[in-house]
Amino acid sequence: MASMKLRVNRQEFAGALTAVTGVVATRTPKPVLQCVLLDAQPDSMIACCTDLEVGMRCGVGQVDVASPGVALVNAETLSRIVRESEDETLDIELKGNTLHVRGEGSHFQIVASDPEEFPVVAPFDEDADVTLPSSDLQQLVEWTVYACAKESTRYAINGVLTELKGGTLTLVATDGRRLAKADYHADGEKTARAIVPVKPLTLFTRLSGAEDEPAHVRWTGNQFMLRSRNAMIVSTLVEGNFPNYAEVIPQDGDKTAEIETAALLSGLRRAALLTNEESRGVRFAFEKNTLTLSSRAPEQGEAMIALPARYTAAPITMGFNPVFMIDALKAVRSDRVTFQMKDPQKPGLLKTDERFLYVVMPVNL
Amino acid sequence: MPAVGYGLWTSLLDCVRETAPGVTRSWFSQLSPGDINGGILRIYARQPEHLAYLTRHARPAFVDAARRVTGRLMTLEFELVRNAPDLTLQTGTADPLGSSDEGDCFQPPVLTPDYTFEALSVGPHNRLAHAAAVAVAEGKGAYNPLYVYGAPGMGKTHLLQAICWRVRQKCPERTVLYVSADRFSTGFLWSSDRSRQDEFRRRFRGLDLLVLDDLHRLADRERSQEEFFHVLNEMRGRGGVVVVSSDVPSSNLKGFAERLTSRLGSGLVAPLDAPCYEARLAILVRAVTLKYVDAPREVQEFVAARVAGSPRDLIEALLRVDALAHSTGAAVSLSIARQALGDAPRTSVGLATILDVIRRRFGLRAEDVIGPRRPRSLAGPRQIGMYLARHMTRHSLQEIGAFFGGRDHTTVIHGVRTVAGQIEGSEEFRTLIDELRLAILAGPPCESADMTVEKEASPTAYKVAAGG
Repeated sequence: MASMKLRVNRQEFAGALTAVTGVVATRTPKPVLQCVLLDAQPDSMIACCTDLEVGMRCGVGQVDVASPGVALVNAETLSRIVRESEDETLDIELKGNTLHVRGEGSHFQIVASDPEEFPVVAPFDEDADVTLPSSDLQQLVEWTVYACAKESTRYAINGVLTELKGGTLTLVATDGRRLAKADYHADGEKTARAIVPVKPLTLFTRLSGAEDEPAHVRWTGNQFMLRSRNAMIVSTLVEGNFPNYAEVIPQDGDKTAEIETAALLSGLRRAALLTNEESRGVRFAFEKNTLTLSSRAPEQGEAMIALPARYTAAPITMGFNPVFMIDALKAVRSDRVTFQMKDPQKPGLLKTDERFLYVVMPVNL
Repeated sequence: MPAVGYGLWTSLLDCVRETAPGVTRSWFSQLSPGDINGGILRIYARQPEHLAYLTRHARPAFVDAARRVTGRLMTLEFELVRNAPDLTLQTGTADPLGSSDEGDCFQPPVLTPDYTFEALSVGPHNRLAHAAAVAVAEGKGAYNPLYVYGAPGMGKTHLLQAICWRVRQKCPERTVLYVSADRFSTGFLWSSDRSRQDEFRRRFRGLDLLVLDDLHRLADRERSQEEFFHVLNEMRGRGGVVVVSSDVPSSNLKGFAERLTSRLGSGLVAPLDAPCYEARLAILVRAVTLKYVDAPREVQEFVAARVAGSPRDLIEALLRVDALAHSTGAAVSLSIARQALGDAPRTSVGLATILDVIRRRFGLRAEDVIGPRRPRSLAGPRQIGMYLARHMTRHSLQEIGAFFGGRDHTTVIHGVRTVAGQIEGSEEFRTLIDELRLAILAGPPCESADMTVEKEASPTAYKVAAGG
């Protein structure tokens, strides 16, 4: 008969459960995939979820295990019970196929499933291919992940390219209309390249309280693995060929403008108010030391916003989808951005002094 | 994975031709599009030398064009496919994205705004074609079909599009369609692969005026020719007018069914010749008035005298002068023009001209010069041909090798070196090469002269000339 008994700090447990339940698919034909596996060892406990593509294991701190064991219960139910409780600690006990959760004056009995049914989530115990501060990895993800295609189309792959070459970790995402690339210079000689789904990356950025700790990254033939101090994410890879991003990044921009990030973001948000499905774009008119944003929504009105910009090349007017520009500007942290252009028909290149660049296709206005 | 739609592919090719005329080759029409998968467009070439050329020289132009026509950050891959079926579209599953994402297959192509009658300079070289085109555009002519022919750059497309613009202006109620032969052919195959022939036929046969550009590209495309023949017949029966352009007279069309060529020749066949000096000057004057470029009269006269080519060559030369002036920051002047164009007259030399001159000089048959046999009497002239092609044209080694009988580029290198060595070693040989050069620059003589030369030439001519 299966059994398990332990006492756990409720806040620690809630944190771990919130993190791992991010993996659980909302709709799945296999009910077992909506469960969380609790694996109590004599001195630790691990919560584990998977949707068969992404698996996540999260260590639970401040746990006192009386009797080691394994329990499998509905993740959402357990997570909400633990979140809504007000006790400092909770007593967890598995008796037969029922999990008892006891607080002061409360007692929940949850139906437990057979842990044998739960797919194995491979542990990540090997050496990492690259190690970098978690905050830097999170920054790389934030710089790129929004540019990823929401679903795989002929024009883009639904995944982020992760590439390790000559000690540099590069993340690239594109949806066919814009491309975001971010680099981190680490040490090492290893080389790896794989397309990774968005999910493991965003899950990693949501892990709180781990900014200063190292993040370990490893690529195997068919998996991508991430590990921080007490969490581990393993993901299958996305099949397909990622476009040669070096070719996508324009090298011949001969018109450069330098603009204050906050001013441009605010200007774009205002100009975007008067765009709609039909007009789509905001017109960027660069003239000597001025950028004029203008937009027009049929039967609604027009907007015109002039911004100071450091610009001395020949005047040029280009149209851009404001959403694409706003996405990138929101991710940027530096005060000023540089914008390089060549021709109204050719992609524009947004750069900062950080390790980030962004290519965006113009739209015809 | 979805194949690239007809509309997208033809606009992509048109875009390459328009934005990068320098790298464009006539065989681009033989390329076939594959699928677009994950932002990568696959393009299939049939010849290894085409593949090499595309990869080395044409890639940026294609990437740029793919981006322009799709509005996406695309990249592409060239691949070799042998014995590909002669269709520029892949058959296969119906593409759910197809019609909305890539534009309708029947969408009319965009006309170039500059190609109007007003922007066309009329002279002895194009008077007949121009008059007939105006008559057709204004619904007055009895020329049906009107067949316009001329070498590349002579203004066929300009004239044809001018007809369309005039019809749009003066008789907007007439339905007119301008279409390239490539587009016609791919559209026909596209629709028959999807069982939409009826739609295709309705589209073409219901027209008042059909303007078909570059008819010669339908060569050996039997199904498309047959469809075009039916379109021609049906339109004539209903009083519709057909205008076609080609690079040769209808009687010289190769790879066409006889009934089609004779039907095409039954209307008016009008040539577009190379302009004479006065006409060249008039073309340049018009280009300057239309503000393509600003150049003083003396520069116009200089360019007209130096560039004995097509209207396109003239405009290109003028733009080259302008570009040089622009890059040096000086105004367009006679000295800038001399610098840009050199003092010698510029003519463009084709591989066919070289082959023609070589075979006539040595009294050989063209199929022997480019054939597989390698006796000295053939290999020598062939090497000379390669040498001249290397030095007088912009074609790559692969292209030259392919032209001279599908030979490897290393063979071309060897040939060029051998000939260069012979030139070093023998004054007589150098004179021979110089003569050939002059003959090539003079261009192919007319057909009657061709006959007499061939009779006079002896098969031993090469031995004698090469001093061995």
